[in-house]
Amino acid sequence: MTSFLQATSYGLLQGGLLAMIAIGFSLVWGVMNVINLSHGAYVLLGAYIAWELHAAWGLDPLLGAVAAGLVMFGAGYAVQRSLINQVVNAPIFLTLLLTFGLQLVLVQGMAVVFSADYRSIATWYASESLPIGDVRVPSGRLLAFGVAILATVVLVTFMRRTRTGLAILATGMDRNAARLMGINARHAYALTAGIAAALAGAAGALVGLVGTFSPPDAARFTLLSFVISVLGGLGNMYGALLGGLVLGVVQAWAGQYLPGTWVNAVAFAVLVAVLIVRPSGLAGRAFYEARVEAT
Amino acid sequence: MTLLQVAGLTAGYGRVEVLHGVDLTVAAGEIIALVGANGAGKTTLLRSISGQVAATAGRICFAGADITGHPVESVVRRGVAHVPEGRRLFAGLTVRDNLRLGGWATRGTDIDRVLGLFPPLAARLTQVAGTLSGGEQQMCAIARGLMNRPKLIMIDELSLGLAPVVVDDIVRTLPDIAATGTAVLLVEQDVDIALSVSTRGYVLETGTIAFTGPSAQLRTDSRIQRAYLARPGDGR
Repeated sequence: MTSFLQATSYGLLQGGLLAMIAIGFSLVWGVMNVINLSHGAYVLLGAYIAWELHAAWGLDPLLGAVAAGLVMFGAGYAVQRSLINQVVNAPIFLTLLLTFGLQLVLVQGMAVVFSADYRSIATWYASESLPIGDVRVPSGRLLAFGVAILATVVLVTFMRRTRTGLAILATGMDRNAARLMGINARHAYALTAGIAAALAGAAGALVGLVGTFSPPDAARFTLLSFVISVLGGLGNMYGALLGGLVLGVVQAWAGQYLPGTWVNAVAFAVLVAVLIVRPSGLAGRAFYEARVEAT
Repeated sequence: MTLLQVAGLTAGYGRVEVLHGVDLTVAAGEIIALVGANGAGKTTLLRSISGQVAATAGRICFAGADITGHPVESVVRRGVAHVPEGRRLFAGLTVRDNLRLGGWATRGTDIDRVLGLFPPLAARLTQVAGTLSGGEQQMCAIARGLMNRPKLIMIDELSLGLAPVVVDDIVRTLPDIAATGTAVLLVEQDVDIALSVSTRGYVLETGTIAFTGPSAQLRTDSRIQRAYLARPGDGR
């Protein structure tokens, strides 16, 4: 029983972090209909930014997450404005090809600059564990989980309550109608990409806080983001949070009770099962079902 | 005072030219009807004015500035509102959020003013726009267009898919809108309604203006009656 609770709590904490990574991926997919295959590389870039800041000035990775988020916001905005906006209305294969190429360049670039060695950002508190009942919870993971949930809630509130957030949602629903309101769609797209990259980058710093990372992990983060986005309901931000938690727990259970090689197979089995029972995802109605394809 | 002046406008999609030299003017506070058969180019004309279709020749001047070739966002900022065919509300957002988005360009937040024109919307503010009735959706779309306090509002196919009694209700608000200083350019398939509410009218036929004049005069023109009004007993 204790091992079950231990695995479940570990899964929830890991799931929160995965959700923070996936929510931006889901947002970009929902608003722009772009499946950004370089999303996982953004996570790693954020991790390396935080690692370098920690190595150079001893900056705590929680503050490093803020710095990584800011830098990656700029990077995401610039990449969207200069590159992806050029093909955003083209057939989806073009955006897949472009972002896949970007992922290759970034991953290889990071391997050249930082080497492919596994790294982690060591702090005095990350491996301290808090006993909760019979379960021991590593404080680094608990902190990362708290930050991830907070970031997700802030994002959803921003999207639903602010002028800029509403403009982004409107552009995602009907690009032409949004332009008729005077909204600059290219800017709205670039902001969306910037927000997604910022969350991914900040989450990357937290990945470095709770474990190890190396450039090839980018592909795994992209894949998990894809699974979580579909699991939660495309473009549904709270759905992505729920999807992340479910995936984290399922993976933790699989890791606890099944041979290690089964973990990904179980994750995809859950995805298939959810899609059979609820094709629109766990959170039900997809927010963007009303979207009008850009013409 | 001339608010909008379209002169010799030629426009289309790719190699297909839809408008072949259209002239049209709208004065401040006027209600203008633009009528014509399907495919005559009414929607293309509106889309050219709001910057969604590029002009290949001719000029569009608005409020004293040449806006030919300007992007949509900049035309909207200058005071043109375009209520597109089929309403194109943000269906997943509430009526209130749709109206807030309508005021995006000018940071207009005076929802009460547009609710005064369309009182039925007041009870629907928290409802998701996609679940409104057709008439309420059209009201919401026009109200959304008015949030920027435009100098000109262009309404494409106001009556499309609506019951006649609902159309009457909405059409009755157009003079109120014009009275606030916002000129109305109404594209309408129902020629009778369009000419009854407007001061002047334009009849577009295959990309050129076939007739223009005061609406009262157009309504009694036998050629227009035969082609568009189809009164029983006429044109035999």
